[in-house]
Amino acid sequence: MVNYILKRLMGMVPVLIGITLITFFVIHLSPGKPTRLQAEMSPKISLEAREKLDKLYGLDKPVHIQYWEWVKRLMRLDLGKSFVDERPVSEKIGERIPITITINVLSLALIFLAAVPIGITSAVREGSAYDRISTVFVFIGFAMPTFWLALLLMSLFGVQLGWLPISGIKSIDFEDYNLVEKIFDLIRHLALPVFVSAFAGLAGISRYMRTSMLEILNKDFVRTARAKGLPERDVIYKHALRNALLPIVTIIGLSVPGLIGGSVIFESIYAIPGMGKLFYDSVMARDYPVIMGVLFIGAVLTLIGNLIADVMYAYVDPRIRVSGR
Amino acid sequence: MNRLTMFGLVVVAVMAFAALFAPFIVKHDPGSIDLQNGLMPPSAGHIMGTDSLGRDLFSRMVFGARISLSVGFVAVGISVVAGVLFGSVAGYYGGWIDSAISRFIDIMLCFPTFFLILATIAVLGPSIWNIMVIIGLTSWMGVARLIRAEILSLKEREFVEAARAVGASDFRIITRHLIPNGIGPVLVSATLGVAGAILTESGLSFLGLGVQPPVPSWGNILTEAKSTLGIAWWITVFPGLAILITVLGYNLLGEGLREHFNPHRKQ
Amino acid sequence: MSKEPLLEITDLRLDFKHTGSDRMVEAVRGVDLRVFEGEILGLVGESGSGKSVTALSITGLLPKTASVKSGRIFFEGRDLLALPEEDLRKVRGSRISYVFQDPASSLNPVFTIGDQLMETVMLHQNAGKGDAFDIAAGSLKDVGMPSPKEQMYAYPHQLSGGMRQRVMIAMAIACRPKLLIADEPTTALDVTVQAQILELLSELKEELSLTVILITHDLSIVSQVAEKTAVMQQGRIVEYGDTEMVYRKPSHPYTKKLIDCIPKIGGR
Repeated sequence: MVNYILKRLMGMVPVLIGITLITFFVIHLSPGKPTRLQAEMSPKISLEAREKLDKLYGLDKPVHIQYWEWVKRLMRLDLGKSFVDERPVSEKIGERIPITITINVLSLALIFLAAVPIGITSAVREGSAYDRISTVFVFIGFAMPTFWLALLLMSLFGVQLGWLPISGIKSIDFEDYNLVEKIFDLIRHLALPVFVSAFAGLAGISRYMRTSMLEILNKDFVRTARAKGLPERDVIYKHALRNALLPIVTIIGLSVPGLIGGSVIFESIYAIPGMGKLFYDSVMARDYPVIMGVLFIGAVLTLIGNLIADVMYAYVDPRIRVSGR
Repeated sequence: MNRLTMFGLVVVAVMAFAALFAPFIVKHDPGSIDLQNGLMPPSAGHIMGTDSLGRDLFSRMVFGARISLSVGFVAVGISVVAGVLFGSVAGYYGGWIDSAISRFIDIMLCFPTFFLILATIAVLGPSIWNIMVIIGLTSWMGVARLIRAEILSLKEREFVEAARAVGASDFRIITRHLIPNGIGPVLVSATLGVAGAILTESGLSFLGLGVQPPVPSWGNILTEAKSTLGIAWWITVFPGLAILITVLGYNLLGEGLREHFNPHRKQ
Repeated sequence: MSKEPLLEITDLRLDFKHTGSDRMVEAVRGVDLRVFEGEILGLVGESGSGKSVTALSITGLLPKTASVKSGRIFFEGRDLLALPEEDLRKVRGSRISYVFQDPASSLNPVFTIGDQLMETVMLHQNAGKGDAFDIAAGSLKDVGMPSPKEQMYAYPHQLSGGMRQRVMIAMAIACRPKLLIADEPTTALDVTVQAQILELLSELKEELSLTVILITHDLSIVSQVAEKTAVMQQGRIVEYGDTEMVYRKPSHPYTKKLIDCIPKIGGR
């Protein structure tokens, strides 16, 4: 197992390098220097000031030197300073990450808790009305534009029914609440974002679970379990399920980039101060150091997510965890 | 063909028709501003109501179909071309070329797609052509893997040996023999890809980073919906529904095609 | 000396839903079969003859695509086909058990073989974990498994094909059933291992007073271990009798064909 983890970590290094290359490449695609576009947004900057900016960000040097400088700074965990407010990018991202990660983790939990049972029941009752109805919901889930869903829910729960708040993560008098009220307040604020974030994943995972379960239910060892006289409940929830859940672990890991990317939309709509909103704001303001920083961090988080998923799979599947004798 | 696939086909056909014949279907000019009649609910004169500038929503929606579908098709076209190119080269030549390309694909897949697209738009500026190309160049990886897998499995078959024995060049073998056999899954991927591209484009336009107003796109019509949330339900409902139904249609069609090329392995 | 048969199948008819269409295909068309206590009955036939399906129907293990049209299966005084599911479950694994063809796919890959063995024991014999462990390890010893107590912690993928099949057999005999149905138990194994498994089955039959239905397409296997032989073709039993007689004087042309197919070294 440890070997496996080490091997995976080693394999991650070239991918990390590739990520830095692509991040750098994307930002420097623009025909002019990033500072020129920045200056266009605030035309009062004189030529002198612009040249100073260029020097500050090392933009007067050739491209490969710029790349190398940037990577060196990356290794010191220095992501540069924001164009907009001169604060260190790592600080800006650092204060946003916990919120985005919290929402994404809650999303994953919701997906897992809801999609898995739905998928299992659909498989066990293949062809029934339940199966057909849930299939319809799955397809609608795949086709739903998340921003539209966010708007609809905002309209329904926030404006018309007034049950849930529609922006931010805490109420104004948050600090005056006691612990229980604080928790409740957070839940009310996070309810809609977490649901919207999880929606597409719900559809996908429940579909996948159904397929996985159907495949497993056809396997010989399920027949053996029945032949032993086990009650159907054990056959399905003990023997079949354990096997059907194995690939789900990896699939959930693979949905991490989708969740992170999707955070841009609902964080903007619900005014959640997370990484997604930071990214959106920096894109609108052409704040390149922040854009690069978030892009890079996003990819790294995905990489870590994949690693965790693979390691968990290796742990859960005895065929990998315990080597053959 | 089952009913769901049929539904998908109908939706796709209707939207295509709307897109192609837009100017002949609408009564009003999608761009004509009429401030007196802003934010009117659906009526006989404006069957989907008007937006805040008094423009007829229905005409904007129909022209929006044109935009959304063209972005979808061009973007998918690009992604299929790029995907087939990379995938077939990787699958056919194997060795370090395959490793390099596969590694490249892995790296690309590490980036949350939406982030990558937004970052590129931040650099290159939002315009229809830019988003078509950008969406295309960030979604070719799936097709590439599919084609690579197909070619890997077909490579060792006899007809390839035969073609080589007759002196066919690599290029000919790839384009005439291998790719056509892998067309099925690619077609499925492309159909589903159009659905995805439409979703992405509308998301981008909603955020203001896609199709720029006054050119109507279902996504950017919804931008206005944010500020008219409790007041004008038609601005929220119709464009969103249009996206939902169109994407659903392409998805169902894609699934139907998948069944067709890969008959369900039930026993 | 006429005894009552341990298992008696009368006029069994089964339908199968053909894949991809709604057509029903008759898989079993009126099978009569008697199995007497203490014997090994070889049930022979080509694939598609309906022998596996017949066997599965004995304890109601048919897939959803198959259905019983008519017939009776008497075992220990009861018609198994008329039994409600909960009673059938009590029969499965404890009175009648199975050994299937492919041990690699018939064992659950995510549980240890100890867990899978103990599961049957705890289910049918109301044993606690400690006793179940001992009984299960004992079964492993019965089937000739080396270091049975250690192997209890092994996973199926860690064992060879022959050992896995021994585990399957151990699982089948753990609760001392009266009837063991072995469906192509040696087909997926190497030739050398085949002989070992057949020998094991014979030994166990003697030691545990088992009755065995041995299903196979290979007549030569049957001739080695089975006292009686039944030949099945296209859903019907076409020949039945003492193995010696069936071999020497087959009455049905199909049986003759099967016998002719056996590669003989120096004649028989």
